[in-house]
Amino acid sequence: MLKNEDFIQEFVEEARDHLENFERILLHDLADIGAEQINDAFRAIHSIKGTAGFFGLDQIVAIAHAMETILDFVNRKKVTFSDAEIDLLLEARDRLNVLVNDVKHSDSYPIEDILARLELTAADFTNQAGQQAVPVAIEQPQLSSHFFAVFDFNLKIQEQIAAFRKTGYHIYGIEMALTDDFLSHSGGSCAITANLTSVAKVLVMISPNGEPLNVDDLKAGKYNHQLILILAASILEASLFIQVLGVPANAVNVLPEDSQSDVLAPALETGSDDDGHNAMPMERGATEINEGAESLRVNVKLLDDLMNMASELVLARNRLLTLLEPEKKRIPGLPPVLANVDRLTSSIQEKIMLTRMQPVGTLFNRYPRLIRDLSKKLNKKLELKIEGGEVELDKSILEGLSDPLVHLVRNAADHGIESAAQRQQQGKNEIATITLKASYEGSVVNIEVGDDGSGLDFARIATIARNKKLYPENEPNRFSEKELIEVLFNPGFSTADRLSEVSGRGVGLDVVRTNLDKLGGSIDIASQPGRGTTIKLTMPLTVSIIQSLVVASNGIKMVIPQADVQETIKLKNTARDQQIEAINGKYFYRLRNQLLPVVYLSELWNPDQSGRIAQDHKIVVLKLGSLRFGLLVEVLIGNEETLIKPLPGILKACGIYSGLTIMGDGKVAPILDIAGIARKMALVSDSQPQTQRNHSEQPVAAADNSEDFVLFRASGTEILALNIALIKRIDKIKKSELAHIGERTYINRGNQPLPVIRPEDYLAINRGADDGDDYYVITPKGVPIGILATEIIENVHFEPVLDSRQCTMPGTLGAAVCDEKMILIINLYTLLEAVEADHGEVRDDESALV
Amino acid sequence: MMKVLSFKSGNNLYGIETRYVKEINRQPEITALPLAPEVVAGFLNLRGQVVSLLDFEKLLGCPTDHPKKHAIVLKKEPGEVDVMALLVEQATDVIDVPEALCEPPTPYLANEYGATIKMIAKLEQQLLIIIDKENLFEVFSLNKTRC
Repeated sequence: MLKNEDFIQEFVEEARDHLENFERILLHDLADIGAEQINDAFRAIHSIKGTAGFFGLDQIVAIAHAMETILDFVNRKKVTFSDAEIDLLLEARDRLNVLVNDVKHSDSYPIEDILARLELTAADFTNQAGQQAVPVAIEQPQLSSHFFAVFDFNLKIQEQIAAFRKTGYHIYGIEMALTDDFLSHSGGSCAITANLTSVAKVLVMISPNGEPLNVDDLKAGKYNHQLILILAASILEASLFIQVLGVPANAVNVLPEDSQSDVLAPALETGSDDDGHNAMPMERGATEINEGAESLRVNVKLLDDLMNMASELVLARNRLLTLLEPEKKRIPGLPPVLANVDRLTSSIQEKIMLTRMQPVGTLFNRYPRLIRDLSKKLNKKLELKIEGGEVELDKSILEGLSDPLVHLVRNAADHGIESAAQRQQQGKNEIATITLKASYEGSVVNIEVGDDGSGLDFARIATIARNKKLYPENEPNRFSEKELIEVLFNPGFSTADRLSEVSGRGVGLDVVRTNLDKLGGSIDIASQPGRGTTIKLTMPLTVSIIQSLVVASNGIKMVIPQADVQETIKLKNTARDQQIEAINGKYFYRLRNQLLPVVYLSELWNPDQSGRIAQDHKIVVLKLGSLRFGLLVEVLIGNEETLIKPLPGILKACGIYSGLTIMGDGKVAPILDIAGIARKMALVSDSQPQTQRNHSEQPVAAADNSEDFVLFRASGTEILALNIALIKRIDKIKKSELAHIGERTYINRGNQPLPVIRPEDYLAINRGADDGDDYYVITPKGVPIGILATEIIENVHFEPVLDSRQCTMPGTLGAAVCDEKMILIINLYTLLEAVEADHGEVRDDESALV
Repeated sequence: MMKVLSFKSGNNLYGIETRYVKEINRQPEITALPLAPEVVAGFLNLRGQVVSLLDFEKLLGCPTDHPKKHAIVLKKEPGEVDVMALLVEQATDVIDVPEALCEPPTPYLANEYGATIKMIAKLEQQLLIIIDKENLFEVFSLNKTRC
């Protein structure tokens, strides 16, 4: 007997909130669950029961009731609670959740099993409580126990009830359906009203949605064909009262005499604030407004519409400002008006975006339950740490994150964390920690899922990658960590044999990345062998409007998201180190003594820029994760708020645009995809995803195995090479900056000592005079160590054909010939291993890569 | 009777059924983008909506160097993602074409751009080539959800 679709929907939403609260309470540590928490849990379930009963959702009522009984024991009879009961209650909560989510068919779900178990527990409790009390709630007629929750038992009503009771009145709740049948049977609304008022004093009369009704209107027939709910006092006994009114017996409920009884207690105790939850939506809304409540429920669709309109408003404003700019001087009084419109538009848009912001905590709070369940299932002791729950994100982004986070948390628990026995062996805390952490960084939010497990097993990943032919033709020892991490995102890696074969990670990571791409986010993985893995998601704060930098090159305006911009530099052509320098057709700029690779924006579509040296260009320094590079543009136009329009399908293949926008002048302009540009210009070495896909479809015979290397010299004459993909930065330093402590050498890097090594100490190469004053420190990614070079020769892009017969020197991959020079390619892993062995540390994982 | 918007492009008179047409933009402000596919003439702003503008002659594979002035904005069909427009030399009139005047394209035209022609109408002064919008997009697999 569903009465009203809208109200049912309201009920569903409220019930979900209550269930969420309930779960959160029960997920506290057992010791922390005090009387107050139990009371809160009880109230949540009670509210659901009340409203569900009103809608005739009997199954929901039955489960909620049984849950209440158990909670009641704990609360009042001081029966002790154990883990088993919490499990049972959580399970019951899940069942309720299912029923609530499919509320229209909730009666068709089988619930006998859970009811039986709940009752069994209740019976146990009865015994524990010494059998002095049979559960009170069970004795009561179900209908009456929930019926009265609809009414607002404010103080006035309570006083009236008390007064009537003193003089021997009974208090009845009447559910009167003014159907045609009933009306004709009882002689019309007039007669019904007369009947009612003759035998009873009406205390409250409301519609099912909580609106107050009055007796005169009832008489006038205004409520015909409606359902009305009446709280009335009468001296008649129930049976007689029913007869007089001519309503069915089950439409009249008796308010229990004892107002401290279970039924009303929670509602009465908690006062009108909580009544809001028990009662119908309209009534609650009214209560909130009366009390000047701080929040209000608003339809999301409405907010979405508002947001779209605000976005369009920003565009219109931009246009208006551009158009009227020349008129500012001509029309007196125009500038302040424009400034006002400008300011107001921005703040309207900003505030509307804020309405959609929700704390990440609402999302994070779903995971304690997952961890609890996983902990039982996997038989591992897990603890979840949540940090930064107050960080806010746009609602749609938050929703989109839910599934990826489940994936990642599951992965962490399943694959990242070792078994309890293993942890003990390694001297780790038996209880493993999984961390969910959110933090702001500029206009993005970082969300980290970390574990303190074993870290990625790169050797294993390499084996699987090889077995699955995700990297045909490649020698296993040529995988870099970065490449191996990239392998994890390969769909071929993640789907097959996930549990049996993969003891590392990778379950569904490709799906995670796809989902994040859609939200405009990105994913990074960092792993420390033996210490754990951290997966970092970088998400935009909001969806459609971004702060951006407008630039122009070749007369084309383009938009760079401000979040990607680190700084802008105007080139002066005076100072020598203020210029762009070319190495082998690639350009570099010395930014505070660091080499910043730069690309001409126009180079993207017109690759031939040879011999071109920028004179009056501007460098936009961009950051992309750990990578920094400069984009050379001719004109910096300025900052603008930009509304992102989705990228048309025909532009997707270009790879350098992430979307389009409409500028203040009404023209369309592209938003640059910084990651895409970095890929296109080979600034990063992750062309793997594409080549992988090609390989899996058809093995490509002549795969391009060219890579970028930095050629450098140690003190000797040999030319050494290191893959650029492995390098974080290269610094030029003076000899005086080298500090020696014992056998070791350090430099000062950001007030931290950074150990530096000389390759010649670990490789069988010549040792030179070492009398120069300038050194370079090459810092590989992910390792706090620097490699000392006396000379950086150049960057080269070539395919190393390794001849391992000529050179089997440990610490190298072999020798190769590049531009008729013999070069020695360093195997960073074995080199670092040798270093660490020397420094007395043991890292076991990478040995497998050799 | 078929309602057809006629337009000149290259050396021919073409027509597209008005049911596919949303509006004609006679002064499109076009932003051309580097690296875009060749058939893409650029993008324009239609009251806050981004429209992808395709060069009609390049679509047909018979580009001329006649100046192209008008953009015919097409209605977005169910299942299509982006709003598309055709850049043509000049949009002329909406005319009623009696079916009796129409003939299907002959095989003689098949290897040219036959698939993109729906009908050829024998107007008094000139032949009117009525394009098959669906096939036109199909042939170039444009505006599909995955393209």
